[in-house]
Amino acid sequence: MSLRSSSTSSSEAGAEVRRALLLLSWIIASLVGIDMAINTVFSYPADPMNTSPGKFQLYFEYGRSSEAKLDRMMGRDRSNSAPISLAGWYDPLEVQDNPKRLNSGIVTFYGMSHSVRLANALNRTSDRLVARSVGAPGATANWAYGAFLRDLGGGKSRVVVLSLMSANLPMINTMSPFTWNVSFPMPYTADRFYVNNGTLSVVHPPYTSFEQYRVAFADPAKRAAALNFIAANDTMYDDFLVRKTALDNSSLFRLIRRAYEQRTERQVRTSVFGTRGFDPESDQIKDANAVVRDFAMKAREGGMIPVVFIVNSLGYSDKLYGALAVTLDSNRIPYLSSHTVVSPDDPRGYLPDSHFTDANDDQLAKALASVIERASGVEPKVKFLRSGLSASK
Amino acid sequence: MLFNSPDFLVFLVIVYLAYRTLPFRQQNYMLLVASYFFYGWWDWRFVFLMALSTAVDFWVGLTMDRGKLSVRERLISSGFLVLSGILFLGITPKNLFSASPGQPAIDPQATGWAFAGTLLFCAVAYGIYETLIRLDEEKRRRTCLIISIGTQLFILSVFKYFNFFVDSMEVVAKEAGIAVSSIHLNVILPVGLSFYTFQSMSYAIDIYRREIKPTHRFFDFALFVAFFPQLVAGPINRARHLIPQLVRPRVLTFQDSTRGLYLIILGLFKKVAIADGVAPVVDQIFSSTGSISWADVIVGTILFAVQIYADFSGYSDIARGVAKLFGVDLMVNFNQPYFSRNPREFWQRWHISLSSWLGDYLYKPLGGNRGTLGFTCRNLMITMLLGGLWHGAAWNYVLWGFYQGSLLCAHRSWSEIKGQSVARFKGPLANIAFIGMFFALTCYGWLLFRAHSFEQVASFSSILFSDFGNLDYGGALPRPSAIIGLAVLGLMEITQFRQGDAHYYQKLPLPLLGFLISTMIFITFMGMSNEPAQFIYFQF
Repeated sequence: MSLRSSSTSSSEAGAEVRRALLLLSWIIASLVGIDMAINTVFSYPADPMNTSPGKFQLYFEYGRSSEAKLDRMMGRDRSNSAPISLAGWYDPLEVQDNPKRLNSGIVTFYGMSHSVRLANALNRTSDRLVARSVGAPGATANWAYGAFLRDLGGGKSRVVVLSLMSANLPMINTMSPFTWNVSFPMPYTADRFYVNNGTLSVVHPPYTSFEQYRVAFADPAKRAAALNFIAANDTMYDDFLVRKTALDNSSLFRLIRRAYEQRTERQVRTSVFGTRGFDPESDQIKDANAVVRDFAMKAREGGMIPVVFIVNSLGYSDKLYGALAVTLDSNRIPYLSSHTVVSPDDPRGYLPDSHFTDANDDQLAKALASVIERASGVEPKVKFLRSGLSASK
Repeated sequence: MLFNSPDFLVFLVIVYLAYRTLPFRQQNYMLLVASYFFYGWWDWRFVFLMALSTAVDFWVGLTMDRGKLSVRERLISSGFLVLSGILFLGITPKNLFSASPGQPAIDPQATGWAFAGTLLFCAVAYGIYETLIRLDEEKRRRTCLIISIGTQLFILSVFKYFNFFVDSMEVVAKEAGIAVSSIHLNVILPVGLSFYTFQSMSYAIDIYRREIKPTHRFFDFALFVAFFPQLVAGPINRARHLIPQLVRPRVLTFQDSTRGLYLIILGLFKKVAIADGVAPVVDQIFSSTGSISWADVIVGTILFAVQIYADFSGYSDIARGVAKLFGVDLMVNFNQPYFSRNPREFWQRWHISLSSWLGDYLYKPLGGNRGTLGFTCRNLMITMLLGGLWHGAAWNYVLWGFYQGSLLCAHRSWSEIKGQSVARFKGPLANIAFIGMFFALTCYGWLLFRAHSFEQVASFSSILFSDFGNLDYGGALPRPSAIIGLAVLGLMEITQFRQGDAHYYQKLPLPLLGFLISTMIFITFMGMSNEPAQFIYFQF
């Protein structure tokens, strides 16, 4: 069947086609015009030190490639680079000490901002324990374990706390946030752990410090080599999202990339986390359990008490705890799962930025102190009314 | 497969290209296969349910009208049903591509049961057929109609309403102090079940009323039931409108194609940019467990009114647009419902395919308005209560139906008592006032519709009065795509309303039309980064 015009004469049909082509031209011209207008009106500040662009400037930038965003963050040197690009590096680790109370029992936290906030809360609420934190923004569990292995308690910790969070657990097989968080990429890198014949193996990233990163990204050949290495070892690496192209200059294309990113991330999440919780057969959960097991073993070898802090993100219920429970139980690893203090289904327990409220952080810190003191064989100072507090056996 | 997914785009391109290369008959076969594939994308097994519904109504239609089926008609439809049983119940397509030994693609036991079960069904059907053809004509026609409606309602009852009725009976029994142990069916609601069963029912009823002749081509009829653009969320097309377009070669005009593309763009714009952009705010307010203010209730309810309109009319636009690409004209389902000045007008503009279905097959057979005011109101109330229940197996839908029925009765009574006195109020200001007042009433109906429990209805309704004027809004803002998109859609709707022509855009100067379309495309891409949500009406 052919496409026929309903018009009776061929000249009318021709006029219709001409009109359609003209309309198509106007549509394309208008799209180009809108694109250019968006780029002009909502142009993103070029200064890497500008950390608070407007809402719409951010909105139309989400879909810019990671590589382009990382390039923009990089200044002439450390002092001229975006502060976020300096965070989270293994070399040196970003440590928050509490020098005032060094005589107390030191507890070192490894993980994301939740972990740092918990450390701060512990400092506020405990007079027996002093918190020290080693953190990175949005750190995944593999980053946290890599940091622990490099720090090993800083040589002075009595207790070490490894933090895992349900929202970013599906990203445990990545090497840098710039592969899985294209909207807000950060350049720091992480060790990639994987289970090989039942044992935990590691792949170290191609660069671990801001300076190494600068060097690697300054030279196109080294940059390509570094990105290729990450691509080969990071399950979420996608050239379309990471590599910059001329199309980064189109706001429409950035919207398309952003949509693709959302879809990709959703697919990864749903492949690991479904209606029944985390899939125990997924690589991510197998790796997470192996990381927890290894962490406990290494900590104990170093004479430290291992504690696992499970951050149950809003909407994830206690499923991460469920995915790790057998390992925690069988290895007698002390742990604190946030669901015993803050309901993961009640938005009131969380801040709009997804952190726990300060009051809940304090409650969690008290619960953690109790867990630590039980694990140390000391009677907890604070009695909790809540049942089901996740203390070790 | 969602209309707003890349999967559908790929599917549509392939089907369209295949359609363009095939001759007429093959086009229909291809569209039928494509429609079953489209439906099977959600759940392969439920395609069998549709095949069963199709076979039954095909037999019933011919038996009712002609009193007999030819051997060929019998063989084709029976063979189709048996093959469908094996294909859809015995085979799991996703396992075809996975090498897992524990999950075979073909389940021999299920295949055996499907084969035996469908054969047995056909044997029983022929037994009934032999009895039917011996009956006198009127008795045969009536029995056939009962079989058709009974089958469709049975399918609906089992998959949609069984657990609801059991739960409701359990509550009543417990209130009466009777201990009961209820039975629940562990079934999920097949997508679009209410739409295609209603469409099939209209076919049998129209034949019974001698308004149409049945088709003797099984695959054309199967395509009428399964035609993918309208399969899962309507419009519910009448056989008299759709079948004639399927049984004859279609002429694909250039105008139809461009109109189709425009409708697809418009529908995606409504759905992706606006409906999905306000959905998180609505969800947040209606799932809140904290304190809620008057402003929260008002904003949440108005945004839900926006969401359900953009979502459902967006789906209908896409469905109509896609159908036009295949030379098929589906009925208009929405005609600017929020410009209605009274409930009667609203139901002539909102979900037109359902309201006209209910009007033709329920309200009028009940007696319509051929009686006293009380009699008319009774009919209106029954129709709207069942219309509410059609939307879902939950009491809040029944309550919504009751509310809509009450509005219609109140309007009817007012019109009868006051006669044409309201006609005095003319002019733009009066129009705006009536439209505004009725929009407020419509929104309250949406509150009933969206609430997840009676307790929430009571709580939100109480806030509307007890917390009146409290502007302390605690909810989030809609996505930028929704805010900008709503402004653009508002302008478009007002222009259309003022001009009284859905094709108003064709009169715009080309540069302006080009700008309008590209604006919709751009805002749709903005909305694409939102979390895509299933179309609301799929669950019905």
